[in-house]
Amino acid sequence: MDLEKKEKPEVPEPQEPQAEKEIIIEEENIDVVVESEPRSETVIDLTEDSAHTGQTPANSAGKRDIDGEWAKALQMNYDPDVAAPLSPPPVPGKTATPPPYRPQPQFNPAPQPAPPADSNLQPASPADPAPQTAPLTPAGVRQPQEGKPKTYLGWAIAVLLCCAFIPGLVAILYAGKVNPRYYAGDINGAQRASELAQYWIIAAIVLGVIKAALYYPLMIAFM
Amino acid sequence: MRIPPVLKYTLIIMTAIIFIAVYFLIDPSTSRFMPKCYFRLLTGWECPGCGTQRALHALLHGNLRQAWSHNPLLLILLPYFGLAAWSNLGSSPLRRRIHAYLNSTPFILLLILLLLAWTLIRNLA
Repeated sequence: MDLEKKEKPEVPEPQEPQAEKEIIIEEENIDVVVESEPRSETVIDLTEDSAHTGQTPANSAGKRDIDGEWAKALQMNYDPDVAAPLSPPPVPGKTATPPPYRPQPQFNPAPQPAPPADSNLQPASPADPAPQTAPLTPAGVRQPQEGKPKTYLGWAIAVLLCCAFIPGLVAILYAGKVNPRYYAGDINGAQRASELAQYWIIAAIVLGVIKAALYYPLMIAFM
Repeated sequence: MRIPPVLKYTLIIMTAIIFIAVYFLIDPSTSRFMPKCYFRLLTGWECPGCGTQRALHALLHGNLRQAWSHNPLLLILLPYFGLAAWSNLGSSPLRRRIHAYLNSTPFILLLILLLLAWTLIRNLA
């Protein structure tokens, strides 16, 4: 419905130069009209895609939160701490100044091939990329990649209690460094601290598994 | 790398059921098949996690007092683990707020102090 509405106001814009050409040569009218149509389509597609990108958070309130939650659960990085009002300003700034931690979800390439693909089917071409891009790029999935890194505190404590004492303590210390570094502006440092906490947790789990595996031969040897 | 959610949650639930069954059926204080703490074997000191297996066994049998005597830290941190897991499962505002609170710096410092104090107390006292 929105697509048809947006086509109509944009059609007269390319027609204004046509009117000037009509006065000069009448026969080229048909050619000009034919040439103007794909131009208008490309303009329409771009505006509609940008409109979709702008509308996704608003439309996603009801349905797409579920997908976002699943995507979060799958990717294992969810940063609910970065609220919705905080997310729009850091996106352009962080993409420009620091190197992004992870390759960002490719937001533009999906809509860009759409306009040359279907020149005749106007409603089909914008309608296709919308459901493809929308579940992949809700606000909840993009936020953790540019937002605050995870602290892995719960894992660190669980690992400290169950697997290994000292690596778990190191992991908790690194988890405590994430937030101060992030709020001090050191985003890469916070990211590094989060990664180090993760690595120490993995090391503790591996150590616990090795300990449990070594226990039985030792028990049999010293029995 | 993306694991399908059905497989992921079935794996989690199956491992949880196996762990619960093992710790319900086997008493770690009497059986020789449960692994002991190597920190305690090497140094003679008790790490903050010593007694967690016995406390889990007692907790699964409903003996809260016995679990507390084995390792009070597990009982103290159980609500924390539950809240942390619950806050990670969704993105509603309440979960976001709880997640932010549980990962804030003062809370982490408090946990580190609690753990260090608990190790000192249980080894010195």
